[in-house]
Amino acid sequence: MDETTAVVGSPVPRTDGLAKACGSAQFLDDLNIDGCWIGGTVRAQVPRGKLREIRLDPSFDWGRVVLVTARDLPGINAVSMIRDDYPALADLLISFPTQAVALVAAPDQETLGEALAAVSLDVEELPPILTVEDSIACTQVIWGENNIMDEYSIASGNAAEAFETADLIVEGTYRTKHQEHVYLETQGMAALPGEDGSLEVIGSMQCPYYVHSALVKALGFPPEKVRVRQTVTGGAFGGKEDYPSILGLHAALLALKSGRPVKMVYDRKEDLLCTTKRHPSVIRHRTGVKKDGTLTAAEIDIVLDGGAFTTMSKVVLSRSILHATGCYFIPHVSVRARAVATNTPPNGAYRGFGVPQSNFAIERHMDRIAEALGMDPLDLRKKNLLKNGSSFPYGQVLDEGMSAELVLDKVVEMSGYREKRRLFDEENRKNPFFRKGIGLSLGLHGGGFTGSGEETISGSASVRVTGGGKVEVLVSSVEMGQGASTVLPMIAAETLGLDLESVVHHVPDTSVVPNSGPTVASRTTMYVGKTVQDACISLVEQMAEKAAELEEFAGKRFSFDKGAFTAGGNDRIPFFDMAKRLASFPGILSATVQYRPIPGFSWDEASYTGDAYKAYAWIADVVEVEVDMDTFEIMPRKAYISAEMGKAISPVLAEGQIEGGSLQAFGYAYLEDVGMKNGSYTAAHLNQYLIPTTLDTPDFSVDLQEVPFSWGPYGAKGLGELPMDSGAPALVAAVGHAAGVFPEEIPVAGEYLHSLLRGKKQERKAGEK
Amino acid sequence: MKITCVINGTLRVLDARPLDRLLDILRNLGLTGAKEGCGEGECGACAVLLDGELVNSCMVPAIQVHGRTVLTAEGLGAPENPDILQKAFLEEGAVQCGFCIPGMVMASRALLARIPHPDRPAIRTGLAGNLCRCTGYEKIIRAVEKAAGMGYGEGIPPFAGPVCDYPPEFSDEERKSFFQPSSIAEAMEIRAEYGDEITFLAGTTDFFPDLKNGKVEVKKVLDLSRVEELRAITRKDGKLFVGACASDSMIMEHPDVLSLFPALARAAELSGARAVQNRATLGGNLASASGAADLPVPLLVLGASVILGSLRGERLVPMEEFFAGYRQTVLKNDEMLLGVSLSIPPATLRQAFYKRGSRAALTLSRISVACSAVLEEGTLKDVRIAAGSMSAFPVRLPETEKSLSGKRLSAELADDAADSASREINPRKSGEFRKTVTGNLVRKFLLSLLQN
Repeated sequence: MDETTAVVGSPVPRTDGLAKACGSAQFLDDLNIDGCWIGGTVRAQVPRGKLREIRLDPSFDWGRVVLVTARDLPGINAVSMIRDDYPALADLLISFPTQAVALVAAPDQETLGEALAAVSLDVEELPPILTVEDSIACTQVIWGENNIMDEYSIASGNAAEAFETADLIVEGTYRTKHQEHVYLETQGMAALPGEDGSLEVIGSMQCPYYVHSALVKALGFPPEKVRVRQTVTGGAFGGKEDYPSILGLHAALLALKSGRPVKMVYDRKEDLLCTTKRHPSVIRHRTGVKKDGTLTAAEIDIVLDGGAFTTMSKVVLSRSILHATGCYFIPHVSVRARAVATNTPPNGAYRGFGVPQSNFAIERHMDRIAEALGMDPLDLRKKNLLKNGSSFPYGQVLDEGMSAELVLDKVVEMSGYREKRRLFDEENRKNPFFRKGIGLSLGLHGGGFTGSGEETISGSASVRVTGGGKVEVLVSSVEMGQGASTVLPMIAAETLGLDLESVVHHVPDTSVVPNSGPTVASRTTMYVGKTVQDACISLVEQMAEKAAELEEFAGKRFSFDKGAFTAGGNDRIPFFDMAKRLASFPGILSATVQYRPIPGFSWDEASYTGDAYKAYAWIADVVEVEVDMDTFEIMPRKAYISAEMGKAISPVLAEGQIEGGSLQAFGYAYLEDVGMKNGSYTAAHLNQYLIPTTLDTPDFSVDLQEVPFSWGPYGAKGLGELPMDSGAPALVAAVGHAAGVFPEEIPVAGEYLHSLLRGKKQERKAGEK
Repeated sequence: MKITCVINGTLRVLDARPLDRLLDILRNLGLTGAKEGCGEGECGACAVLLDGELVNSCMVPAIQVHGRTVLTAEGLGAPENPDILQKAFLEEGAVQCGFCIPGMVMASRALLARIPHPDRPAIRTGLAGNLCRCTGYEKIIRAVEKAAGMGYGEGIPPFAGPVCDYPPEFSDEERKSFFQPSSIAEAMEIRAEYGDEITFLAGTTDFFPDLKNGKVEVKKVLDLSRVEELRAITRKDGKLFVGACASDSMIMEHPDVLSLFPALARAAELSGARAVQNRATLGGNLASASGAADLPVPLLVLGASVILGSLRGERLVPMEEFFAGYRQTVLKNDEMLLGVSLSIPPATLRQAFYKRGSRAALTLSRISVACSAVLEEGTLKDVRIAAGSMSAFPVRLPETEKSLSGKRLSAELADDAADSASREINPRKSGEFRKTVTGNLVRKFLLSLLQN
């Protein structure tokens, strides 16, 4: 435990833990809403087409239900996100198979089922774009002028020239597929119309103000008439960043038309088939190296499959390109990145946000270069690490907190990587049917919004003292399992010198809390936490100032330290005692502070150069696997992880983030596959989309390193997404080591591993001839 | 119908429809700790204890809750007075979003009741049917270790027996289509009367997913859960009888099955995770005639016969002849499946069952192989090999068997057998992969004989 802090860094248990362990926490579907109807969705069923007519079976009594189509939209027909290209309901054009065309609300499930079955669509099918290759080739134009939703490029030095002086040029193409979040609580929203023409929308979400803004635009409501409140959220991982705006709007449309509360909770099948996924990627690397392993030049081409509409693709792509060279210094770099449209469900936010794809490619490519040079992958990495003072391809130079080497050295030591790599080789020669492998990878993640994003959104946080002797933290940042409702109060408690029980996280409710920004981008602890800390400081400053005006303290100058106001001598007034004395000045007992821009950073959006992030968190993984060569089954056995995140406000929660995020990365690496057929996912059940169970999970050893970030709250940087970035390439490298093959795509499913081994066998046979 | 049951210590008489899910019954009572994560037994978020055994409450019909004792997370403790296990979850940081946690707590309790001091692999196995996407399971495992260390398992009282001995009360309308006999004879009469209209209910682990996905049309329901005779596993006259309603848990833990038919025990062990194994039955696994079913594969090589009964009498059908086609069996519309009969094998019979799913637990077979053989002074005898998940129903591999019987076992012969088995099967999808794996598993079995 840190000696200079009492709450921060301590093992206090999370504030919402017992209610959840005892089953009393109320998630959306646990709430009893009086007179609530349920909503359902009619979907397109074809990847692309012209919607000619929505036909209603006249034998069904349509008076029993409420039906909504695009024509019922009072405002613009768009779910407002980064662009307004995503229609709330398909109108003339159908762009992906699970696109919503009409909505139905009914008093019960049975009636709803009958009504949904009584709607049919008359669609003239058009040839779809189903692959990124076809999209780039423009076999059909389905988005904008050339199917390219967004494009970025970054260049440093002179890559073309630098290739000429390289000893060796190594090329590789790496592919990743969709990934589904599988938050255990499926998407769910409810809309409750008020008698005064107002509307309340509640549900499972990450970003109450995103939902608010989407509702205001599409419903044409004044902002103050719409209230959005988060309910206890059963996991999100990015999946509840974008989608709740869609579902919330759908529920709202039905509620407004029916004049009663309407709830929409997807069952697992609808959630799997219809909600956003991680963007599939194709990333090509071409790298110049010297014989000693020094990287000299890189050309990188990134293509992300955006699906039919933008959602978050523009910013996912941005993060993807900014993390393209991973943890390595390369003097001459040229990167191009494109997000292209296909007639598949729109892809959106998922923990890591473009980095897991980029990092898989660069980490695998480092393994390939090592193989080409006959070097150990560890030695090659060590030779090329970014360090304090080295430059990123977009020109940023940081003189502190570049911790790649720190975490790499630590994880190598913890895992016994070098010894095991040798030992496993030996054992594998003795037992060809059951092999062991060990692999490593590095990762970094820029905390908070890219470039001047934090300055643009400029989030606010409030703290206030309640009558009941508590301090409330008011932010729109939600608890979704990651621990915001514990960590933000910990920061406030530490700053105010209180214990954690005295501080509570207020339910994110847009009618009460200020907009601290969305709960995304590993920004909540680092940026919102800092603003909460600033708000606490403002609060005690204004309390001290006002106290001096009280008769009993006339003329005294108070300062604040360790939970009490002091004015020299014997005047030591504990925080809540002072609050009581100031009770008649309610304005004094709350403080709202806006994000204060961190000085010394600049970003140029036009040239895509400058300080992309104010701080990066770092991670290194070593993964051990066993591979059954009879069945091509992969079994992760051990994961050693070292991460540097500035400061672990709650070490227990930080470890939990690392273990959970890593397991999502391992699932991504060898298990998880949505399957694709004619623009639709084929995995409609959890026995088809497979995430790791306890028996698919390695034992974890996690090490937390802390190199405080001067501007973070108690030194904290962003952490939530980091483990998702690095797990997959380590696991795949371990599989490659065990089986003696080089996978360049994920997931490494049995069929793929089998085909790699067959290829190798045939090569060997050809060699013998 | 009216059902009588005990929920979290309170005796309740409830109105329900016979096929209402226990999950909905609990949630309508305000006990919302059990959650629906999938509604198909694939996630464990709705797990509760039924008569002390872990079940997925999304797959238990009201008709089977009568007379029984239900325990949910709310029954263990509340935030003001959590029990040791719930507190261990909090203190170890095992809770994140919390959606899976009530089910996870119940699975942990069920495990600790059976094994008060489990090692890590036992904990992993005990929780394998409960998905968590937040934690990576590490801290959940530590919470279970902590509660075990505090003696939590020893403090769990044994199951106290049924709540009542009278049957549930059906409405007049329900009496026309829901039947809950307590003897085989009674069940056969109902079957004879309604024939094809009958849907049998036993463990309902296939029934509820099928119902949800619109794959079953329910006319008349014959619930076998109160027919005790069908749950028996008995050894008599050189045979082992396994009743149609014996669960996977019973099969995999029964001493006679473990000692005489370890391949069958292994298939039951790999069939699913605990909550499913406690419910899924031998009869359901056979009668559903799924190509991916696990139990028929070892039964094929162990010389099992399926016992079918009707008012006309009983008949024995060799396992090989039981399946008639895709999702079809030779069961006639007045017959019911009573169980299987297995001849006690010679002590020298070696047997194995291998399953290649898509992950380590709670997974459908993509490839399954069962083998048995006797190795007499280095020579193979009575070789039997069966493969599942590759075609409409599991099949024997007679050519490979023939190529091995009477041969001297060697590594080369094992390689040849692998090639032969690969050639002999004809998978519908992922052909090369499945052929290779099937061959490899046959080789693995033969090499294991060589090693001992």
